[in-house]
Amino acid sequence: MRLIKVKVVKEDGRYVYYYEVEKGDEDAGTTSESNDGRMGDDIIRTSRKAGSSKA
Amino acid sequence: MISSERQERPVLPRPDACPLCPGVLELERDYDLAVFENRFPALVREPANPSDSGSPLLESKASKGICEVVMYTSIHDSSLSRMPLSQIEKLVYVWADRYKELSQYPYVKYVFIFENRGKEVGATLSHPHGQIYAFPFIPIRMNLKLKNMKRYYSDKGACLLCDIVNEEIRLDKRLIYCNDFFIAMVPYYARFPYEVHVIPVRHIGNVAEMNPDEKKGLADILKVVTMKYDKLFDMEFPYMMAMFQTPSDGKDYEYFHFHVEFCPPLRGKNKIKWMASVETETWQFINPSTPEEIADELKRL
Repeated sequence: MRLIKVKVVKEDGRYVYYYEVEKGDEDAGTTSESNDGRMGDDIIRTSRKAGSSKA
Repeated sequence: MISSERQERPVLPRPDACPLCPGVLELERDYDLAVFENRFPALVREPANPSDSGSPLLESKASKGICEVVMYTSIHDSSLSRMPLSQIEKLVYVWADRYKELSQYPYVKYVFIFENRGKEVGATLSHPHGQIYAFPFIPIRMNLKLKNMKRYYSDKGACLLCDIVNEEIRLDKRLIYCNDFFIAMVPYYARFPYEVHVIPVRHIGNVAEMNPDEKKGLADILKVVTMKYDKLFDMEFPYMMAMFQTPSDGKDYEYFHFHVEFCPPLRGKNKIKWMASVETETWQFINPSTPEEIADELKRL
């Protein structure tokens, strides 16, 4: 994923950076994911039983 | 640090007057994620000279640094626990970018990324956001961590947290969740009842050193930990979340291992674990729960 940022300087001199995913790199976009607080399938797939890993 | 201007901060304004929502006050347009300089900073880029204390015994320095606010999302009614995983992943990239950029300022010695969630820990705005303090010095607790990790590295020839990760995985008594890149555990040395530490399996010093898979892994485990918290008492669980990363003073911190600490102020639903006399004045924390009991409770959620 690559983010691009746009800098804006406010009247009082403070800066703001607006971040967004670079065009053409939206494969990690939000459209297919739930936002209802449930644990998504993507999390379940990457999880493993605690203690089963090898560091 | 003395910052009297911070008394002027707004406290929990109505949702329709939230200064962090797009087009209201701080952000002039809609946004996905954003970062801006804090209107009420404890540290500023061009500070005034401190007033004379009148005594050589009472020293002071200008509060030179940077305080930023990190907007997780433009959606007012959201949180790490409710945001899509991909949004948290983008947030990790923003944190990495801020760490890299702020570390380049010669007067910045330590970049501290954190979040205060809930009025119980002093959050004055409910819109999902975190903060960054770019300090002109290494804060005292971080210095203590560095000292102890360095001593362990010198004595054992190994990283303290690498060894702790391996032992916690072997024992499996305090882990609440793992993915391929991180563990989340109630530490053996927990100060707060529901304290959770998130530690990478690989020896990494800061968020900017993470590869794309590790950034996704961090997003995943932060979401799961905060979801467990919210499910615990069926409420928006308050916490302080803090990242500990290699300092930005140009020195070698090979022995230091990145980690995230969650310190919730609750010991039960509507029960505060107060920072009372013993904790505040002696720094000795009295934890009324065993880490193993709490880990079991959080693991089952």
